[in-house]
Amino acid sequence: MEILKEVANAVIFGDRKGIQELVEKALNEGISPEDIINKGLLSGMSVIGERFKKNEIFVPEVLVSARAMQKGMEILKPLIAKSLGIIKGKIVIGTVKGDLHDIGKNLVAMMLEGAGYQIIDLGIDVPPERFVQAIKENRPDVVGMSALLTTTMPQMKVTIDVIEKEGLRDKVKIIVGGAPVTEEFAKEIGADGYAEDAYSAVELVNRLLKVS
Amino acid sequence: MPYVRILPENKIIKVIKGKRLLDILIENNIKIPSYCGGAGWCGKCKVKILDKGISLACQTYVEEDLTIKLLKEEGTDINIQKDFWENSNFILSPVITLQAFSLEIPSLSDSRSDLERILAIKENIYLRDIFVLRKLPIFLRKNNYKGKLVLFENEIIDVREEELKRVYGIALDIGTTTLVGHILDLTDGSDIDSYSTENPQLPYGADIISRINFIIHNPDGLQILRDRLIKTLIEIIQNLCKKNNINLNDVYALSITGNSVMTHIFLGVTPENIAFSPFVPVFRNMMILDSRDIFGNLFNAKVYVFPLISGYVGGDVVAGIIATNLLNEKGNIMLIDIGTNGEIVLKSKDALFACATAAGPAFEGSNISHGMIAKNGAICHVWLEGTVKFEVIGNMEEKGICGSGLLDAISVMLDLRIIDLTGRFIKGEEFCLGRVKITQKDVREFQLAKSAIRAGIEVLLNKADITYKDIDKIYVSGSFGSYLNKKNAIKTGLLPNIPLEKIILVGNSAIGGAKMILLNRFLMKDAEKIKEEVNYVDLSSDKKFQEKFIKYMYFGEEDQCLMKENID
Ligand code: B1M
Repeated sequence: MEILKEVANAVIFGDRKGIQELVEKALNEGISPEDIINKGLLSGMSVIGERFKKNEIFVPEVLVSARAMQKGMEILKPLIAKSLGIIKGKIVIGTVKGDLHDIGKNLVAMMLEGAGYQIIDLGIDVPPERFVQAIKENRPDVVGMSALLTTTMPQMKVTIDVIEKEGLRDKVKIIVGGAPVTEEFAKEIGADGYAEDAYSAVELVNRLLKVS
Repeated sequence: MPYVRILPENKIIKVIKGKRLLDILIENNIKIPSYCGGAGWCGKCKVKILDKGISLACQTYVEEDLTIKLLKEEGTDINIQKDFWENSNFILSPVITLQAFSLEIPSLSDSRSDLERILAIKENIYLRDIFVLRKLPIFLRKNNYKGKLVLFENEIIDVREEELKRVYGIALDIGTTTLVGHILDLTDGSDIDSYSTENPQLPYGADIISRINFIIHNPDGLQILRDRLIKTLIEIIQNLCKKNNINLNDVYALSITGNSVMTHIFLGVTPENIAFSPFVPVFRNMMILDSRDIFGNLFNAKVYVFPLISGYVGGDVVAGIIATNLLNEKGNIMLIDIGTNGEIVLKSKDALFACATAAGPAFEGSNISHGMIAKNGAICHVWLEGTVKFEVIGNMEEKGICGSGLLDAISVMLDLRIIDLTGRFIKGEEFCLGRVKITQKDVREFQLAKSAIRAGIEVLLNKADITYKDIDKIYVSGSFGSYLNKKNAIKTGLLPNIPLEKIILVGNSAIGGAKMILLNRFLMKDAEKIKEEVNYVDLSSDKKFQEKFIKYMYFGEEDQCLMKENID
């Protein structure tokens, strides 16, 4: 449908003002909110994710697109509050203790949101106990940790150990990322997966939760 | 135990099975770059393993006999532009003074002690050094009670023969990447010679965090890093003396400047708490030490160590502020030191603000595919003249590209529309300068680095409640700073769009300040004042920083910034 393509395009070009009008137009044409989200907003975000992964676009474009997507979501979410089917899974995410780098983690969160996941963002400098508490409160499918400093990477292992001690380890999949983190490191500390960039994080979560 | 044969030197080393190749090379003093400290992600420690191909030394464990070939030869000659302070005129009142004396010869009617005789020479002088006391009786009798006192402020640090005319001081800048030493004549203030070399801690990581990490994870880490540093500093000191026919015994003062982490390591004090929020250093005070406590019995000098402003704004910045005379200049003045870290200082209406931006070592070549520091073989300038032209340091074949070269290359790529204002390649996938290539990822690294610095500039301007239009002067220092093309710095958005004549490249401002303090002891008071008065702005807790960091990732001036309204 033409209008859904336009919605997707508005996301791709980060047209935060235009998107409101387009979403309303789509609703008026009788398209379901679910379809506008999936085939409009999220399909636009997925294009952005792929381009970012290929380095064609950079952080600002992603943020601008994510904001346009969120604007669209704001309008549509209340309309679909009852049909929970649309949420593919719940993800708790945060930057580990001692580390204040926010931006990479935010991109990952936005991209996951743009792929249809519900995000609980714990922010930065998150101690292991806060992760544990969030797991108990929200029962997420996935826990994501970000670290940008070689000195804070070990906090990922500490956090995993605490989650394990609390008997919650088999209740969640744990993924890690951030510039100094590597696939080997992720294996070494017993995480379920590592993603190099925000879009790969989406692919990783899809794979871990067996969602397409 | 397996053997490792290293080409081209053809050196053979017997090693413990399973030991990491990088550690083997470092321990055997074989030069190998490793910016991430062996974490496996900078990719700089590549070696060729015969019959197996290229591999990272930090990811290779020696299980059997190996023959490896080192890929790049690294020289140690680094050229940093002549400093500009030599011309600036200020009063010469060196930290070391000589006081000639001719004492009454003792007699039964005047049997004062040797020391009392000495202390009567000048008011307020004192002696603390037991070595000088031990020397005194023999010296006085041998020299017929004539000689010269060597004074550091009012402290007698030596007694010397009458003929001694000249004494010397050495200023040392301990950079994360480069160590620089200057030897000065403290009697006439002349800057005799300089010497610089790579920081020998480089194999343990390019940035301070990697070094701290090494310290945290190795029980002897601090000792190893410190020993390497001291050893190389001694080499610098000896080299400066030997080259200039100066007796090491005539060197009486050292000044030491460096960032907070390097200063901690120099003193053998752990810097580990600086790495984590809330970034607490062990000390901030200036120190005056005896060289024997640090360098052993090699010589006998006073060592002045610059005070620190915070965990991330160190003595190198204090020295830089002194060198550029920020305390006394009027107007809105910035000092930007772009090294492995980017520190920014703003003086405005008698207030001083400073911050450290985690620009990363992109400007010093790390994380850039063919990046290297500004030394022989590095492309340092790129420009358009019909075709693309470039200049290589040392006038030799290009081995890589340094920060200033990268800045120019990106500007040329913008001019040729090879990349667009968002930084994306629109023509081809890489940009070649001879054998050196710049990739899309390199452009992205550059964008992160330049934007971190620019965002830091804007945050400080905000704190002082002014805009870039109010800036009267920007001093740019650091090794990157001395080669930087101002126009291109503005074109890429690294610096705000102010008239070019307001941007002043000052070379290494840290060593400048370290030299000046040897020649004018009153500047030590200024250093204290700077330590007390600078307002440190912590960017990790600054909401505006993140906004601006994103905003300035693109190229072009603020007004051209794409999608401006959407980003705000
Ligand atoms: C859960 O699953 C996943 C999956 C994928 C995941 C993931 C999680 N998390 C990330 N990913 C991945 O997906 C993202 C999108 O594709 C990617 O995220 P990234 O975060 O990698 O990428 C972002 C989109 C863009 N990248 C960034 O945002 C980081 C950029 C650089 C310049 C950087 C910045 C901006 C900052 N910094 Co900091 N900083 C640097 C960085 C140097 C550089 N050039 O990269 C780095 C990381 N910093 C460093 C340092 C030293 C520091 N910083 C510090 C502070 C700061 C600022 C506050 C100034 C600012 C952060 C602002 C903020 N609110 O986030 C200090 C520490 C604060 C703390 N305790 O955290 C300080 C310690 C020192 C200082 N001078 O201020 C260095 C770390 C060195 C090391 N060896 O670890 C550094 C590499 C620069 C350097 N070399 O000096 C992937 O990694």
